[in-house]
Amino acid sequence: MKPNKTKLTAIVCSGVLLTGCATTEQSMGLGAIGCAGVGVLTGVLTGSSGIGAGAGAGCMALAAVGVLAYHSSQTRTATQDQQLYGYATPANGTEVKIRNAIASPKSVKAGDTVKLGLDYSVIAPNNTQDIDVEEIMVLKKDDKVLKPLSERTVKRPLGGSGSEIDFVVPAKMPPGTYVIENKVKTGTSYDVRDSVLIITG
Amino acid sequence: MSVIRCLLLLGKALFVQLSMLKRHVVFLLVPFLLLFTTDVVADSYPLSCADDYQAANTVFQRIENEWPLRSSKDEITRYVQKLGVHLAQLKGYGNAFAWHFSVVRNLAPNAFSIGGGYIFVTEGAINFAETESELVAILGHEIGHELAGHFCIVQPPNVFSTLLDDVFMPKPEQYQVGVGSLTQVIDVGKEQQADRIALSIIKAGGYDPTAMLNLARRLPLNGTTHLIDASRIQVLEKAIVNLPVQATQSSNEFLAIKRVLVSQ
Repeated sequence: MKPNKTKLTAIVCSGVLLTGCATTEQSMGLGAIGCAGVGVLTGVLTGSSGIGAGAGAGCMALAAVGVLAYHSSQTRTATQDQQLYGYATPANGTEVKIRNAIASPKSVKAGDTVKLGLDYSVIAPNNTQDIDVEEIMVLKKDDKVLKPLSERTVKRPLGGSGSEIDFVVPAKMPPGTYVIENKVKTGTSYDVRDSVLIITG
Repeated sequence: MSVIRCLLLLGKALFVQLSMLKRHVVFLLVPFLLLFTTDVVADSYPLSCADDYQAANTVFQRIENEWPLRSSKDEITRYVQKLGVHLAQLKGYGNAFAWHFSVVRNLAPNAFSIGGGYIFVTEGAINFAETESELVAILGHEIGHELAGHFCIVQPPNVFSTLLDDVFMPKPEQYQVGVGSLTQVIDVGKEQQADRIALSIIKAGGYDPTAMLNLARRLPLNGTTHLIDASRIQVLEKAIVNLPVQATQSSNEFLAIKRVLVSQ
């Protein structure tokens, strides 16, 4: 199902940034994620599979509480990235490698907003222009996928790139330890890194 | 073939140059190459030279910084590590190195070793292996490079050997391919030697001896990182034909990691 969404995209080119441009995008509700599987999430959030199974209206309810903002920027030039992480050029192929993935703050209450951040390197031959990188964030608990949070393909320059989404924790999300699985992929190369999100009572 | 000629050929094959003189460091890697000969397999190997581990460790750090590797605690890496050490033990070299098997998060099939017991296999290679015997063939080939000491930095040949080389020895057939910021050097002679060792490992472990042939047949001919052509497959077929057919079953662990990779 293709959800309706209100999207605001702003391209910010600033001298403050090391290089390149920053992109900010806002999507209303979990509509950006889609409603498929919301029954499962609703079931988890309420602790009742029956409620989850019949969550026809649940999708809209969740859409109201999950507001996501997406922000991305180049964080390091190719040269800075090479110096920081100790690899050399020229590269013969394309690789992506996640350097950091965090949930900040790590511990929040239901209804709070948490920033899910991802930092990774794109390594490719010197003359390569922007690379298409697929970024995927998935909410998991006990190794089971609860919900895709963000999935988009973005163009990235060589070097370090950062992405961040603001995730509003649904009000009915039960306390516990959750995992955000962060994945980046380009060509045949991909990387995965988990970050931990603790929902307190 | 005389013993002296054999030794000279081996010496020539062992000449590996780690070009770390420039800022643009070039690492020489040896990828798995499915190529058999029918020569008798030697059971003792020159192993590592003194500087081997240090140089390999430096290269490993580079690769770790550049490439996405699965964690050493990851179930797939632990399985590959366990299988790899087992294969080395089959030849009595389980303690020859601090064997270190890494799994690269890359869907293209490839495997390579860098010396010092460091061996890399991509998820693509594990996916490509339809049976555990095929994965053994891939790992066995890389172990073969390690056991044969293909990564030792040796002194240039002296005048005597150079003269003999000019008279008796063909120039080594080498190819270079780029992977990441690394350069793989494929030396046909070394590949043959590694394949012979891999075959001996397959036989010692009771794995399916046709596994390497099956792999070679499925790899694209004249690929960029796998020097497979029709003549090599013919050589492989000849090598396999005299070996006893051995039906083997893949272990549950192998099947489990295949399921994990497919589900990702």
